[in-house]
Amino acid sequence: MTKVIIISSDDERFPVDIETASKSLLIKNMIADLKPDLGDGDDEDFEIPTPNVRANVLSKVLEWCEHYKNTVFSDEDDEDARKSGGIDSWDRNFLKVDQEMLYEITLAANYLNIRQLLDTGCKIIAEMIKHKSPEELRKTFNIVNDFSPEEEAAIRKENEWAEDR
Amino acid sequence: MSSAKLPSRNFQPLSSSPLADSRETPKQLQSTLHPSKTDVSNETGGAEDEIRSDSDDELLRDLNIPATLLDKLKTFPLFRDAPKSFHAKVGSKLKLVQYHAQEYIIKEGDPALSMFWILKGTVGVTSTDGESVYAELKPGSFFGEIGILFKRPRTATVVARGRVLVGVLTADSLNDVLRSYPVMERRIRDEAQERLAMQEKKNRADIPIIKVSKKLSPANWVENRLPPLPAVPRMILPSGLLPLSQLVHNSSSNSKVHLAQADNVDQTVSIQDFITSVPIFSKLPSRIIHRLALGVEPLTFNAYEMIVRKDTKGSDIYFITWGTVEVIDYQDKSEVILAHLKPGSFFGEMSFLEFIQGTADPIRSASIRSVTSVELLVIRTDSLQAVCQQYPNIVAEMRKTANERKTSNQNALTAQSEPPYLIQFQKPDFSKPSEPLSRPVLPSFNSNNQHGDLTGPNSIFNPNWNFGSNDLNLPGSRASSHTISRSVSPVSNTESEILWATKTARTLAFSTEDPMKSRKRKSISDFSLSQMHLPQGPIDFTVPPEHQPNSLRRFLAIPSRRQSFQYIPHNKRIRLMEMAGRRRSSILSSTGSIPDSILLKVFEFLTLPELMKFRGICRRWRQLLYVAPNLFKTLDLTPWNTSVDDQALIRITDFVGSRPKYIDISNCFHVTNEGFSYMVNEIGMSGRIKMLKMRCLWEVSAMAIMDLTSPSVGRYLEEVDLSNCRKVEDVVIERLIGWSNEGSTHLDHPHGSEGISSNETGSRNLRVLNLGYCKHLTDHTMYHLSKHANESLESLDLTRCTTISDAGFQYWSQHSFPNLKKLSLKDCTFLTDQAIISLANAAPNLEILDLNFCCALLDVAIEVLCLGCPKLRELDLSFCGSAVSDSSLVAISIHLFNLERLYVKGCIRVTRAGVDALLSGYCPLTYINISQCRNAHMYPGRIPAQKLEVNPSTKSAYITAGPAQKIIELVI
Repeated sequence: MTKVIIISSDDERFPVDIETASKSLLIKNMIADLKPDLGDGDDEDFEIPTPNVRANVLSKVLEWCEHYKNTVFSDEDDEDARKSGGIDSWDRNFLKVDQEMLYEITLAANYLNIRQLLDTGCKIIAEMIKHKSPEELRKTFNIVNDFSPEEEAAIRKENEWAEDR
Repeated sequence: MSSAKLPSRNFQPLSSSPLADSRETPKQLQSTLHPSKTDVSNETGGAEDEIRSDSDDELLRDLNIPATLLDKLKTFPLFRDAPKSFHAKVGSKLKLVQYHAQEYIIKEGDPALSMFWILKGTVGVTSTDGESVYAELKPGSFFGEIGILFKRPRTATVVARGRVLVGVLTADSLNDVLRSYPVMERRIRDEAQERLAMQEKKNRADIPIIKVSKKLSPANWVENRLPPLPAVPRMILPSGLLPLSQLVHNSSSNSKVHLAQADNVDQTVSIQDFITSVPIFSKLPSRIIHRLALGVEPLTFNAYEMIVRKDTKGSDIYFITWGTVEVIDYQDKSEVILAHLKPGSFFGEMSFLEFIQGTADPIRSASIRSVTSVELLVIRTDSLQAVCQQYPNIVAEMRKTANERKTSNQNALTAQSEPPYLIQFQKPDFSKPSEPLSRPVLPSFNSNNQHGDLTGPNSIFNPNWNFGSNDLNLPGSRASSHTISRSVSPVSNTESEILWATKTARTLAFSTEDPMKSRKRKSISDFSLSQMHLPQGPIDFTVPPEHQPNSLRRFLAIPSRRQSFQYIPHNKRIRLMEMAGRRRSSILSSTGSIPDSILLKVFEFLTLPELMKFRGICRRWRQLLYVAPNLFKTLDLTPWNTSVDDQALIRITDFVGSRPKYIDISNCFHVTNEGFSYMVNEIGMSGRIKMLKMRCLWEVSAMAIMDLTSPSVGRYLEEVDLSNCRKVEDVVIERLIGWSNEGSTHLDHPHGSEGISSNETGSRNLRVLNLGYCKHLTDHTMYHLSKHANESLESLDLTRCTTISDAGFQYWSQHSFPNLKKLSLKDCTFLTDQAIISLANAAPNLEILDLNFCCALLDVAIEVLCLGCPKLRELDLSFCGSAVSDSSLVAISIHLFNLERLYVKGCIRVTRAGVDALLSGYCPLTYINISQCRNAHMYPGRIPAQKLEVNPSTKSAYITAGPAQKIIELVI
């Protein structure tokens, strides 16, 4: 069966099924544009370089694609549903990786246009930061606080309405 | 001619006009002045429309219009420059009517059908009860034109003071005349629009005052706040500046007595006239002037208030319409008055020029304080900037003025002090090198800082007043402000002189530097200050923080009314952001490990309070939050409805900027006019609000809601939910819907297509309107909807609009609502079959109809619906007990081929026979609700029916029935 070969930035080659690769809208469109007859007995494999994605990240992303190969995601144009929907437990486990990896996967999902993975990644990051205090958050993300105390106080004042009610 | 015959003839078109009452009393036509006018006008009326304006004199002769009247007309401000033929035409159409003392000419709330010119006598503009007098109008004034131009009911009552002779121009005749004079129409309409816009802005400013006066009932409130015939020039406007300002003076001083309402009278000055009279704008086409005039905001200050503070940011330009201001600079501990500016002058142009040149957020170079009470017009940077781009010569003119001011200042000042308009704000890091060596190392900043509190008693009562030496410092403005009082005796103070000398030395040294260069430097540092949009925040990244003197921080942190964040339109934020990106990539690296592109996506999954909290993480995050275009497209505050009050709403608005397109503030019932207006104007004016849901904002007044109807906000609206906004009245809906001036704009109207056409009033894109529980709405609203929204409306909710009656629907039968798909008349208990008949005529494409609890309906209504609205998919007839019977269900089952859901809850006449008919009929039903139909479980004659298997938890039974064997949910 014809494979799509996805090449990572460090030149590692990942042969995958067309269905798996098509989870990425970028690749799906690329196939449709450049090789519309791919899979119709054409034995030549189709190589797609992804210069932004490192091999270990790409393998994770493709693992996700493989898992959802046969899942048809509903064409959710309803933004509310997309945003409020929960996180699948498989996804949660799948994305139990270190911060750096999580960002890279999410970035790759963004680049490859895999919306469900991108959303899931963002939701997990959002959960990470949601209930943290600014101080904790700065620690998590290694951010230097460049506000003066007065400024911080002013911002806190602006937010008063949302607190303790 | 008989006096009995004439009135009826003349006022035929006015039969339903406000004049109707007074028509009963025989009116003497002023035949002395006008022997045969009326006859002539009637006879020539038809032919006249074709007459071209080139044969003026001939026309005048033909029409036989007395010269006195023509002369009068020529003096009317609006008609000043109009062609003679125009005067002739108006003259010929004008019907003269005399009123006796104390007779009502128009009454508040009446429909407006004509406008009036006072030829003789005086009238009073009063409230309905006559208690408060808004204005007294003298001959030459006119009133009531807003009513006919904008089709709004009369907003005040006008009563004759003595014997009054007025010229009446009906809406029809006015339109008739204006049709041939598009320019005049434009002028009148523009003027009226500007007055309305001005009025509303003023009203907004007045809101706190009004709230205090508890005496006013909500209804009165609205009436009073509506411009009571605001288009009432109390005098004829002469051209030229000085008389103009005097006029303003007169009117304002007269009206001070009447407090809030009196402000309406101040509208005597045409903003357009004023703007045109300002030299730099005088050459602009009227279209542009109109645009400027609409954007102008009135401001008033009491005597001795700071208007602009030196070293604060801002680039709006202020024009003085009345009063005097002084230009102040600060020199080591003392304030120095550099000049006085009079009406007609403007200030703030220096900063604006800087802004145009690319300085992101220029800083005021001097302070401005009012001397007397002052009325100003503010032209906001954005609107002027747009104009400047189109007409670069304005910038050139302004620069000329600025340069004149600078040079004259410099000339005058070499001996005394720094040029008042030169930029004096200098960062220590680059101002130091330019300072003369002899100068003590005293950063210019510290000295400024010491009187950073500008209003502090020290600076005001500082002994170093130096009026005497100031009369030469007048900036080269046209306003001859040589009246500055020399009488204040200069306190000679050696110390101050020494300080001046130093300053001067510094100035000279500074000025040897290439001015462009210094400006450039300044703009860079400015720029970094501004990019975080914190006007007061010491955010200068080009200077390492440790180099920033603490005093700078404190100095910059002059408290403003709302701390820390000044509203900046989103497009400007973006612009600043783009500039920022080019200059400081260094910041990017210090933000931690999460990439921006991901961060932006992640923000989409966080809630508003969380995001507001996260702007306190670091500057980078805050900047991202302020400019990210993907955020806040939808602003839904319903989850925090109980926490959101005015202050919170204002803060939220400042945070989200103009990004929201879909706003839901339903149930935020703490919000009042202040917060609501702020939000609507800030978001609406520079953004595009497509949807606004404000259910249950019952504190918000009609006037505030009408902010939505200003053209820049309203034209994007597609969906509005005003349900349970208790103060909504007919006029709100009328203005929200707007109107098109059918006829007059389409026919021979060469200029109709350019600029603001009259069709642009109101929200022409409004498709979904929810007016539930707006109990003040009357049949007027129904009329207006039928006339102006019939094509566009797709969904309308009139739940419990109990004041709307059958008569309202009668209007509908005249107009087709081809796109109306959804209508709710829930709880409109007084509607009868008549209303349904009209409805079925008007809206043949209805798909969803809710008649829940319309208990006055009878069987006929259902039959009519079956025939008239064949596309119904969903029909709610719950509790329409007298309308729903077995036979009406049979009718439904054989006529409504699209009906999927039917509610007949609580209809006790329904028996199983009716249900069977539904089940076996032609309706593709999937849902029938027959709960509380106690007879639905037996056939007529109390024959028990087969029991349905009911799921106890859902109380419904699923039945496969009908020709299509579809599964139907039957709620018992």
